Amino acid sequence: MDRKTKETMVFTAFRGCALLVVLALIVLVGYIASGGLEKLSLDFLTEFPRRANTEGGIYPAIVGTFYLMLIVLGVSVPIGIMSAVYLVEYEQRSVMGRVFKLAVYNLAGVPSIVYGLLGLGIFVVFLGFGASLLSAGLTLSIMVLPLMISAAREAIAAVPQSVCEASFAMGATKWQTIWHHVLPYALPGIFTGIILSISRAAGETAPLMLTGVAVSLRSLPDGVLDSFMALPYHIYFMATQSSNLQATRPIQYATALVLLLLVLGMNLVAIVLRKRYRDKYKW
Amino acid sequence: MALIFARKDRPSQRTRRVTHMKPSERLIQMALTIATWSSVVALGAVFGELLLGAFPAFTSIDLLGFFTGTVWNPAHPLYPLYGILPLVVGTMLVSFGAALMAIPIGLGCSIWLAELAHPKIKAVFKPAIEILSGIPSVIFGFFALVILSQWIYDLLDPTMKLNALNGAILLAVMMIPIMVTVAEDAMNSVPMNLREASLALGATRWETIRRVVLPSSLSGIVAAIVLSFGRAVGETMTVLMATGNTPVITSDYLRSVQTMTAAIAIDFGEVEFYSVHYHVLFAVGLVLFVMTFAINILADWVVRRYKEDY
Amino acid sequence: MNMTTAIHTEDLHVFFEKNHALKGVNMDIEKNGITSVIGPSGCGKSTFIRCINRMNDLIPGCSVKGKVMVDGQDVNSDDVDVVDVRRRIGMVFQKPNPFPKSIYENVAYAPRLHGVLEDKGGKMRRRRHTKQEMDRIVEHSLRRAALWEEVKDRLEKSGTSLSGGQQQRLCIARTLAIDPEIILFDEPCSALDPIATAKIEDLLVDLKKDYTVVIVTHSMQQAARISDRTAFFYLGDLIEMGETKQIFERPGEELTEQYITGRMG
Repeated sequence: MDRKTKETMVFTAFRGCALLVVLALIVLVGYIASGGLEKLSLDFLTEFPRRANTEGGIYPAIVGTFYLMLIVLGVSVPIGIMSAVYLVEYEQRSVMGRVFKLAVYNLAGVPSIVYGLLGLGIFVVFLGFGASLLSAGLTLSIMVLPLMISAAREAIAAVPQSVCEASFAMGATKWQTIWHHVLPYALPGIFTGIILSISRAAGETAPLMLTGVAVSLRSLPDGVLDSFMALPYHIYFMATQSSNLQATRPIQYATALVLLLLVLGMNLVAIVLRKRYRDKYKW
Repeated sequence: MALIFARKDRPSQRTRRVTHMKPSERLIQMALTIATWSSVVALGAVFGELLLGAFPAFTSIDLLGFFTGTVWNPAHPLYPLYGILPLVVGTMLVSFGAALMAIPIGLGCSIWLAELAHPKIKAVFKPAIEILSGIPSVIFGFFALVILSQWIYDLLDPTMKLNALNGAILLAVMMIPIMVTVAEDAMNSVPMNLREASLALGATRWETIRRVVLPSSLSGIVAAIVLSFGRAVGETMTVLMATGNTPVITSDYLRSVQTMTAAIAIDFGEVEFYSVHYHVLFAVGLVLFVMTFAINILADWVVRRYKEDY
Repeated sequence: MNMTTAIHTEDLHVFFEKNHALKGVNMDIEKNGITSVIGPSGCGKSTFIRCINRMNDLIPGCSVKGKVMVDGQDVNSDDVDVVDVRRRIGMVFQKPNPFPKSIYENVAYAPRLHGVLEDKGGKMRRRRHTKQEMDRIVEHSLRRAALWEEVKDRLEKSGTSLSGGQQQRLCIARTLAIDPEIILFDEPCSALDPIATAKIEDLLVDLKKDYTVVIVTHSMQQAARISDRTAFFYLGDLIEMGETKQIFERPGEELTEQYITGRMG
């Protein structure tokens, strides 16, 4: 077999791999979409579940998920940005810098169920928040923190030196430079990171299972210490533990579709945003 | 993931110790330091919490039996058995099976992306990979539970409908985006002039990839494999819904198994707080954490030690 | 075109998208001598030599029209085997680019790819080199590149551990290992210090006995020092070409004179 033929064969195999991956994506999304489309309606999104999820909607689960995203937004975004600023601007080659980088790197690799155990031990039990939105929200916040830090760090590190130098040359302090020049420049990248972190938090189930997600509720949560429902867990519960799997199947599909659209929608927004600002600022 | 190949670190702004800093600046720097410490604290908290939760188990059950026992039946009313081996075997069976599928496909994809793809197609494909990596695991699990298991059932007539193969396939799909991202990044960082040198010597494109690009980016590729494997080991929802949750030691992919992650998630629904079972679950969590921690450290070490300098 | 012509180009045009980088170049390059290509930045000299071994193919949006005759064959035609062309024409780049492999493996890279052509009962076949054959090729190439004495005791060391000048000589050895007819040098000394540059210049003068050497250089002094013939490019056109002595002492064209005397950048 000569060299040219070998090359053609190998390259075709590689193209095949890429095709396979795209196919997997299409099949997955396609089946969920086709199964869930029929139940999708405004009523579905705004009604409470009825008759053990054989009728009605998923409103409380949607609300629960949104509340969780809000908590994550409020907690992990500021901490994440502040950490990223510190890592890029203040601490570079020192030992502490390496320790921090290693900590963030390893946090990113912790399995989601282990975060559940953490949340259970610290928020539910030790701090006494109980099985609540707050416990779950804080747990998710810690979980997406590495993601937030990575994204913010990339965005901040991409700010060109010249911007900082110009500011320093005019006598500005470090923080003034960061606040007035670096952060605004890095904002689109940071924003992308925020969207990706929140979307990740919205899709997680395992931590919720250990920090108190409810199967069904009569009413929406009143405060952060109240119990809550959430989309991912709702899917899990219906698909594995409903009393009548066949009857709830349409709603299972539809809920999966809603979650998929939510997460996919956010991911797409993040991707488009990043592309637009990369082109504009030439990352 | 960008942390591994962080190339954009800027040199320290200050080489001299700062002596004049406004109080407000000091305050801000302190606040930033505290925020950054939160990551270290969080990691410590994870480890500490696991130890705390697992410790009572070490004193109340046969520890050797825990690590070597072949039966996991903690909920038995009279004779509970806490052997972790079935769970470890379950995790490894599913993860290795997934790796076997994900590695060749993921590598093929990365090479295509890094070396062969037309920029316009690349611009569509890369977002597609990102989207794939953003799909919640519960949806993969749902797909496995409802759809893939039926296909496997129709095609292979398995002993049980929910089995290790079901989980392995979907886990492979979840592993591929990580593999592709990290490996492609590694291949892209091989400078163009090395490829030029190879081509100018009369090599074909494939020979250049095989003899120059791949060996040069090997550390990154290995890291990609190790990292994605770590992800598979730590995955919960997909295997929970796909593999049937039967803790047994088996090598038959068409049987139900249970992974460590699934055992923790599922048992916690019924476990009594502070019972032995409760603490043993923390112990399983600790073992799981140590495993994934070791895998991640390994990936980082491989890159650090073996990265080529060109 | 006659027996002493190694390369003959006819109406050679190169376009980078809309940019007309080479405008109808007609040139003959002599065998076994050093021909230098000079001109201000952006005049198309690198683009020109990259046409000879089809390296412009690697640049997206680039199209090359016209004939490039080497050894009676138009290497620019669509049905020629590019891989084979590049085997016969070597190239050394501006920035030394040794592979992150051992010195030995760097030099052995190309021979390993192409194997040994031999006559097996009437049919031409390619087979792998034996260890002795390869050792001989590596030593011979490194000697010819004036690097053997410096590295003979550490052939397993990485190619990237050498100094800049040594790396460039390694790249030359790498090219010599497959015994090309023509070697193209694209500003080979611009990243090197004066001592390393001098060594390479001596090497080039030695190589011209057996190979056709074409060197692109931004240093007129270098061209004057080592080349037999010089070609002057300006904004994509070949302005003048002739014996080096004549070009530098009595240039025929006004533009050439302006460049030589430094009145043009």
